[in-house]
Amino acid sequence: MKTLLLALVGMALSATGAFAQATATQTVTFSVAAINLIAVSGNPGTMTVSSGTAGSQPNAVSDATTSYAVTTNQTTQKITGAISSAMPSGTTLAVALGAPSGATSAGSTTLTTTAANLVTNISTLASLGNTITYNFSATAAAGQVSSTTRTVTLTLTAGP
Amino acid sequence: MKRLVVLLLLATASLRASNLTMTGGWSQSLSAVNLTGGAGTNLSPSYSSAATALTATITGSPLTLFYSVSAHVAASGLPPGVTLAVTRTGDGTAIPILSAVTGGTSAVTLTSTDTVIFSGFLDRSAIPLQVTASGVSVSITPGTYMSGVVFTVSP
Repeated sequence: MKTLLLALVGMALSATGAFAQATATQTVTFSVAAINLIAVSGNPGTMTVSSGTAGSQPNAVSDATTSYAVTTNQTTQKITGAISSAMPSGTTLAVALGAPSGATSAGSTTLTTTAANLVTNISTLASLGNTITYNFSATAAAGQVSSTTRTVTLTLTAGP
Repeated sequence: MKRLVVLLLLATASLRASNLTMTGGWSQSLSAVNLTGGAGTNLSPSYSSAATALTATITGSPLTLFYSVSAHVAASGLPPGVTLAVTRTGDGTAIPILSAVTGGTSAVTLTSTDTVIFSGFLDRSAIPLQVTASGVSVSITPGTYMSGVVFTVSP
């Protein structure tokens, strides 16, 4: 019994110094891809220039029935806009995009086939319901223009 | 004398080093498909691994009696505002039939210092753990982030 007791004491003492903890390490990995999304709520209504005042150019018409949503996890982004083909002679289509928080709107900007900056200084945001206001105007010189459509492309891209 | 022997056995057991084996891991990729509702919406604020993404096995029998398993985040490379939590999602397998685990069935948030996740009695294998990351949003710039989670078994 004494021998057993001594052995147990020995085990206890030897373990006292050795023990105590065991560790294992796991690695958690997160990968975040670039996220740049923009979408519009739908198409604006037909805009028809049909009234005016004698001695003045015809009255422009506007449409603010649509909006856009944007999400980006990157800094220094902008929204540009362009139309699919040139407008008929004497007519102009302009658009103004409301700026999400922290961004800057260029205000009403005439659309051409070359992309123009509409909103700048966009950084890491998720924003819904930003206004889109179209303005369509025609000069008297344009005469009567048949109904036509244009595709407006809004692009979220890198840029100041 | 018998009592003394028993006491020494228990003392020896409680001081004996246990072995902790962790298996599995977790990798989460986030992209536009993870937005809650497409353009204009954010990422979900939290993401969880599979319920059995990690497993812990504690051995040392017959001398492992009571123990606790704790964890902390080491060398965090996580984005600012993102925290990790661990949940014990099962009991694992009893090696001696009498073994048991308790606690940890609700998420335990990890910090840079050890926090006990669960406690146990006698050897047990494949205790399943789930990892959850919270505080996720599009304010996290694109990139790869890694963090070590150190698990420790203590008497």
